[in-house]
Amino acid sequence: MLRYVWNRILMIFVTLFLILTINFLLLYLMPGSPFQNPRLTPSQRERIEDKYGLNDPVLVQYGRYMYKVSKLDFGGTIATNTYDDIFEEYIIDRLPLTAKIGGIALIIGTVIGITFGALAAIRRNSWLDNSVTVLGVIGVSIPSFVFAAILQEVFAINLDWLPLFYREANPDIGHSLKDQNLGMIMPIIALSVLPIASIMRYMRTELVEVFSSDYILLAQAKGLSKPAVIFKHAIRNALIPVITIIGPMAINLIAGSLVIERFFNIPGLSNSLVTFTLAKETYATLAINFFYSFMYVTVILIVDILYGVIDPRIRLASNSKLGLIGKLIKSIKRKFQSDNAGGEVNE
Amino acid sequence: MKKVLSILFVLTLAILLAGCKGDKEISGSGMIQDVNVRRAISMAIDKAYYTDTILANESYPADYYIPYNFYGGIGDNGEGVDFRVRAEQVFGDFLPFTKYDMPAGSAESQSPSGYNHYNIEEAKQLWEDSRKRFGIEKDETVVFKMLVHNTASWTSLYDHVKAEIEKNLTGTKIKIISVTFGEKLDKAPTGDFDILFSGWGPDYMDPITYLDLFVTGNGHNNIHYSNPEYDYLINQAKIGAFQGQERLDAYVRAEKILLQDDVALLPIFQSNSVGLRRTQLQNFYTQSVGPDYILKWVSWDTTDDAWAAKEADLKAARIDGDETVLKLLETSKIPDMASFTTTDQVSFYNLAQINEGLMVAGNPQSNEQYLPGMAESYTVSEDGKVYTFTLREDQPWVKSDGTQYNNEVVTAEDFVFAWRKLADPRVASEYSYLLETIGVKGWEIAYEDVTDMTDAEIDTELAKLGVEATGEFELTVTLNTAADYFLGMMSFPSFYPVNEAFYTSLGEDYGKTLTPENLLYNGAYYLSNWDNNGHTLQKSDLYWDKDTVSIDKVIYELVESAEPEVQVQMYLDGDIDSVILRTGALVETYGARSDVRTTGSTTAWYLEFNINNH
Repeated sequence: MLRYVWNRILMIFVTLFLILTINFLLLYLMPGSPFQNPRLTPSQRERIEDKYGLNDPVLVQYGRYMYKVSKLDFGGTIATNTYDDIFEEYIIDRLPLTAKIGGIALIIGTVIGITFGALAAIRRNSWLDNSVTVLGVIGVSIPSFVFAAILQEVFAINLDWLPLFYREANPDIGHSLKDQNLGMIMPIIALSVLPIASIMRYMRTELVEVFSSDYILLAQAKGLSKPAVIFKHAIRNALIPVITIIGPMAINLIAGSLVIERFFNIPGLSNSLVTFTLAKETYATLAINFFYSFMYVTVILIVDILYGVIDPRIRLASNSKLGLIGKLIKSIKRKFQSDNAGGEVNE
Repeated sequence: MKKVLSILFVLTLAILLAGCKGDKEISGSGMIQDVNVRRAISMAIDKAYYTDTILANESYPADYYIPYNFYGGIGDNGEGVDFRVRAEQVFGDFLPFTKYDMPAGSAESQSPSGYNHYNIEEAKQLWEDSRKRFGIEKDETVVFKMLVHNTASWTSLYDHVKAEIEKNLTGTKIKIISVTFGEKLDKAPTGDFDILFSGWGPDYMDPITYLDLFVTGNGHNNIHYSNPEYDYLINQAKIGAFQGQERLDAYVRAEKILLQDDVALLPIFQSNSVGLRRTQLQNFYTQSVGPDYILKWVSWDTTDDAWAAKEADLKAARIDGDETVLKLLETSKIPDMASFTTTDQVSFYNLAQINEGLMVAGNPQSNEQYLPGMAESYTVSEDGKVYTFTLREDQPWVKSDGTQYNNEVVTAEDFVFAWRKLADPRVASEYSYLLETIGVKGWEIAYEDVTDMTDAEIDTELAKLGVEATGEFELTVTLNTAADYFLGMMSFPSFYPVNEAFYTSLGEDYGKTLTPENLLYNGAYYLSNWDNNGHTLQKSDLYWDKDTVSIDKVIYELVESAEPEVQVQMYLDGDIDSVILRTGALVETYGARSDVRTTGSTTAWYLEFNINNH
């Protein structure tokens, strides 16, 4: 088991290295320059790019960057000195709020999703089941920013119950802590729509499958009461696959809340990824990308280890004669499987 | 199966070939070098339709390069003259009798029209003649490549230009090559275009800031335009060979050569914006050059008459006892407050409130373009190359708590230090190009390869830069060539003073984002608060001209990338005091309100014809 874990961690390093390399090359190939001031003449621009080593051969630039990364220095912004160290001054600074809003949305999504998914499965083909199915399809297919716009229109502009967007408490400008908390309600609701819908649908499918299995029949035959069958046997078994999709979903909520953050003026992490990319701020873009990848592979590692703990067959496979590349392909495959589980459910 | 596929393939190929037949496309890069072709294209575009119907924000259609409302120079009577007014006096013959209708409520009811005014008949005639001259067959389509950047707000303009040319000039096709802004900057110098979309706003208050672009060999001259007479006029004006009215007329002639004789440019429009602003706000006017506003001049009308009864709450919030407050919106965080490295409008704008250079941009309502700032007075040598500034001796350096820093005042050394930082190749400031623009002696150091030099050697080189403290309060600047717009540039933030001792104590952290304590202030305001929610400018009691400053506190709320509709909602809720209506729909909804204000801009938007860059 230890060896299995060790192999997985090694693989993470390989994966992250490849991600950095490919992203670096892609950004290098992107046309343009971080110095986008139209007032600079081409020769002035070239001279200033020379100063920053941006006209060196790609291998030299890549080597220089990787050497810095090996010392855990991910660099900062090039064209302005806004950030010297993108990790310390930007990511660490902004992560808490993104994580807070994403986290609450995930908890709400999980609780509501599991509850209503289970209820729908228990009362199959009832009006409740049908409405859960319909709402699930709506929730999965309508993008979250549409909900955000509707919420803003109804609750902020028409009813004037909630603030139009998030504002941090600041007595100087006249915003209280109450305003700050109220401002988080709409983004959280908008963000939790997708988790609610997908967990609900996933939970329902799993539970329906469990209900038709032999051991439930046996439990019923033993004369157990209905609640006992549902809670002790059915839901517990149905929950295991549901829980495995929550990990990647958490990352998606943090990485993918871009539109919602823009909508509600949340000074979070994803807001500036697009800005940095368009400004051709290579190091800043790479650092944020790297951070997301790191979180992703870490969650996959945890899920993988849990799989290993639960299912001995997976542990055995790791001792087979697969080479490093083979293992990598296998882990990517598995990653995609867990991805798909989060998005699409076959009913 | 294979058989079916191969039959399908052959069929598709045949259809494709048949489709191409009879529709021969030829490149327009040869024709664009012909002046009559360029004129035909220029006259074929209905610019007023774009500004009035598509844009609908009271921008002016432009048949001219140098914008309307731009200071041209000194006229016969010794007073400043609007460039366009003079142009019309001199070359009225070329200007059509019909003028564009201007938005109601503006000072003039009609906007000046100009060279190559919209005229479909003449455009068609010129185009047909040119086709004959070039021997273009009836079934041939001439394709012009138009290089543009893919900002969403511009696509309606590109489509309009394309539709107008293709509709009015038969047998033309405009192929829009849409790339990112950064990529356009890379692509334009290579000449891989027939038509290039560009915009230019002034750096300083002199028509040269526009006209210089098309002098032979200028780095921005992407179309390789070259006309000896044009070059002569601009270069002579630059070194001060013409003065007064003569100089103004030289510019007017140069513009006529560029647009009427050679048709190198196709001006489209001069952008304006419509916004909502509290009617009680006074002197809140845009500056033509540099930072948008100078808050030093702004004030509230405190009389009861100015405020309606229903605005009582708002008045109480803004004029609270002795303290007056102004609330504004900031849509992006201030990136960098170190004056010698910063590059963006938001930083420049804020620097202009908290620090002060040798000169200050004047109150837009007054006749003065520039007023003395840190410099109390100045003298110019006879050849116009050496400026000696006498600084005021009583301006303290202020900390972010409003008190004086170490009993220090602004001295000539502070300017020398900041300018050398701007030129320092180790700092590699993007805005060091300004030293080249104003022609400070020894600007070349900024771009020198110093990898093999020691720090001491670089410092020795930097000491040769044409800026010198000839006394504690006397600053001498030496230029390569005389250029009188130099003085105006002294109000630009890149040339502001920096206290060396304070900078050295912080190093790289000087002026960093979100750290008001990492700055020293010598302007009308200082940053009393700066965090992720915005920043606050507090009136400085130690500012030499504090009696002029009226607003005590300016609070900027940061709403990054706020949607236009959200911005307006904030204004309506009383959160901010000024907002721009950024979409046509918003202008339509709110355009009739009593607090609507049109803000002029002197940015010219135009198409460049690729005359000679092949």
